[in-house]
Amino acid sequence: MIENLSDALVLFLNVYNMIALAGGIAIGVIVGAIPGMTSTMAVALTLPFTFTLPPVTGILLLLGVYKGGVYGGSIPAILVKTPGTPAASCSVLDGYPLAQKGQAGRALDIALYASCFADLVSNLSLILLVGYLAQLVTSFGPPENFTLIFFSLTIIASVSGDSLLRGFISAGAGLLLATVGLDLIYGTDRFTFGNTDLLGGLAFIPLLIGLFAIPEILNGYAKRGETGKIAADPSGSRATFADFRYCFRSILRGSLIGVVLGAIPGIGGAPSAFVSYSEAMRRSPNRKNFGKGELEGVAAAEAGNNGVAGSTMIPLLALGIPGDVITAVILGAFMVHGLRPGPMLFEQNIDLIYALFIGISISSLFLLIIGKAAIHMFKHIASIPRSYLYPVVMVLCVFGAYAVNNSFFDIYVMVGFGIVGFLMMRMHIPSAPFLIAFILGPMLEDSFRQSLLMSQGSLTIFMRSWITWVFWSLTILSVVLMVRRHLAGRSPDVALPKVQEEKRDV
Amino acid sequence: MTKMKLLAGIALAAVTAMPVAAQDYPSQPVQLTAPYGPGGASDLAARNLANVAPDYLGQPVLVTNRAGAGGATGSAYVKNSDPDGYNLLLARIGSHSISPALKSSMPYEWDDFTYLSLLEINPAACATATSKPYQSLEDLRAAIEASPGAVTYSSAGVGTLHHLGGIMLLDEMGFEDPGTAATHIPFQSGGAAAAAAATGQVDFVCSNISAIISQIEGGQLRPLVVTTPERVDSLPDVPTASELGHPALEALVGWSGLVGPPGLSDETIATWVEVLQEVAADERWVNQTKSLGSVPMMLSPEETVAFVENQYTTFRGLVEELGLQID
Repeated sequence: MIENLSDALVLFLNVYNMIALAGGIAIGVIVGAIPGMTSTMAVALTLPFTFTLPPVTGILLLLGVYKGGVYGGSIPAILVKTPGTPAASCSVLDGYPLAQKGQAGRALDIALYASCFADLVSNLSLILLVGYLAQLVTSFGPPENFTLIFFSLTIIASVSGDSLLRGFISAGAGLLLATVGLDLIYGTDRFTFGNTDLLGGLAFIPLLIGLFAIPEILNGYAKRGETGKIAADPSGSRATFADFRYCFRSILRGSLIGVVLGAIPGIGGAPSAFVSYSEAMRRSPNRKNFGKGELEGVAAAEAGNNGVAGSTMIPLLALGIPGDVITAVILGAFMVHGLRPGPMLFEQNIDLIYALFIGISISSLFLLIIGKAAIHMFKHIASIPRSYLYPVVMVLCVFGAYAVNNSFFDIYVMVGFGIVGFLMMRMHIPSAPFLIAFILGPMLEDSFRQSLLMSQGSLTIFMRSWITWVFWSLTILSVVLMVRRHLAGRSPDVALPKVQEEKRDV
Repeated sequence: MTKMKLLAGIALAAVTAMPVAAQDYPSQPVQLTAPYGPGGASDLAARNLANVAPDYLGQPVLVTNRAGAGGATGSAYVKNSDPDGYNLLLARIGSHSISPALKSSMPYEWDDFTYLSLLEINPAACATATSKPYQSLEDLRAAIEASPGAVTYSSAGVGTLHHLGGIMLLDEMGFEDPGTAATHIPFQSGGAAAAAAATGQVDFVCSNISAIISQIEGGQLRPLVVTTPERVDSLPDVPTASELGHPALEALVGWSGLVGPPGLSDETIATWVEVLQEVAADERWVNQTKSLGSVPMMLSPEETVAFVENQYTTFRGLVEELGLQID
């Protein structure tokens, strides 16, 4: 063990590894902050550069880009309501309202602290619990995934705002549009109307940009005459330690949610962020303030999506299974160097694994430093008058929608959903439920149908393991709580949380 | 909205107005479309080629991903682009032989393209989880016979090598209706399909070896058969399909090829044949291809067409015989 560690230190301790890690994170933060450029793309574009690097250096570079990208997505989400990456879409909900209140710096700070903390928790889980979590992964099949996603759908109620009915309408539309494209099981076309561009379904990022950023811009022009300048709130320029302590429970909870969801193949950062957000909201006395600029909401969302960043490596390293596209690219990097992740890697190249672990542990600290520098540069965007800012954002949106798949069709999708989003905004229909349903809908459908295929049509498969029972119980619990709260919301005792909310704002 | 249109218009004009001099090809960067997402086998094959080919082509090769619909979106895009040689495609077994054989609604046929070269092949294997009782293909066959429909196999979606591999295996085992003998369970990616098999969620998977070799070496998957004519170096104990009396399974071999839109000029084809000969001799490309688990195999344009046609015909015959066509 000690000998392995010292070998690992020899492998890790050289200046190129440090540069690769820091450089990777910096590239990731910047790319992640550009709407439409996802961390997946950043990692894929970096891959060819690692061909000529030593394995540890190359993989640390990719991991740096990935981690930086996951965090970087929150910057435009908070500043211009345009999530840089899908995983950051949840950070919009409270981050942008905070920025509008002149507290952009504070929101960016807490997003960074939550991200770094969650990243650290996730990295430590990877290092310490890789064996246990890998065991958990192997017991997750389609039925377990189905119950997990089914439970996750209950968060729609949390992000529906004041009207549950409007939330359901929005979610219903999201579920419906998610069915466009190829049917997974039969391979037949669904709602494509013979259009080749629709065969792959509606692309997520153009839809995301359209739904969030465009309505905001249209709305800005609809309200002409205002100077459009946000008065900076001096107390909102940075997050204090008190802020961090206030959000700590949600950050810790979000980190753990991220660790577990990250370790399960195929779930990813966006659902994790939404689950963490909804849990934070459920437990917060300031429930009513979520969606209107609640610091804890930003912290929970960012902790949720960064919490997956370390544990997503668990199935890859322990079992050789890439859980998502990013780990698939990283698997490619391993293979280019003649290394095959999996149990054998731990036996044959344990020094390399330890060297990677050392690098991964340090990455959280690098992220903090680089993120701080990025905030310093980016936060002034919040004070740019909208008449200058919006055209620039618009160009970035068009570029982002196009860049995802190099397709003009995606630009039309973005514009189309921009108009839909604008109408939804005018009719006070929340867009978050739409988004969640659009992300989770296909996962729900696929796992449901896969399960029934496995059981030859018997529904008992959804009760086959303790994991499914846990998620069923959680679902029932959260629905009961939701109904009770909804009923209570009609009675006068709702005033109580309001008082606390005002206290907090002081 | 008008701004949008203007913007789109300017960009479009810029793209179409690029000067194209047919005489001195290539006079500008070549765009190579990978019809699957980043990190997949087609993406890696495309980037590997794009790393080396510019040295001999004299122009950069830019890889762009146009994923969707099992490779159909990106393939249709290249098929419909100008045959000026600046838009090429990294074709794969899924997009160019299985899907056209299986689906009637494809926006192209397999022979709608100008084939430049085969680049590499990916030998396949069928495997089961080590936690399952099947020690041999015969054990698996007996289990399927004992309870029709209860045995499951995973795939990376309809029209992938995994899917057709399962069907071919069942057909070869002598089951009359491979569609019902065992149950096909599609997943979103090859990784997910391999994972489902390795963790025992499904009974078996037929996949390119490179995607499951980690699980085999790690002791989670037990390979039952390889589809190569000779035994595979890294799996010396695994019998070949011919040894087990199923030579037809040898058609089950993944491949990547370089193709262009229909009607590429002879000059463009000749340029690429020359370039690819140099690439095939370049150690960087050979080593990279091997380390990704593929076998480098450059073929001439004519040989490539024959190779793909042979595979397509085999698959198409199977699809017609078993009535598997998807409308």
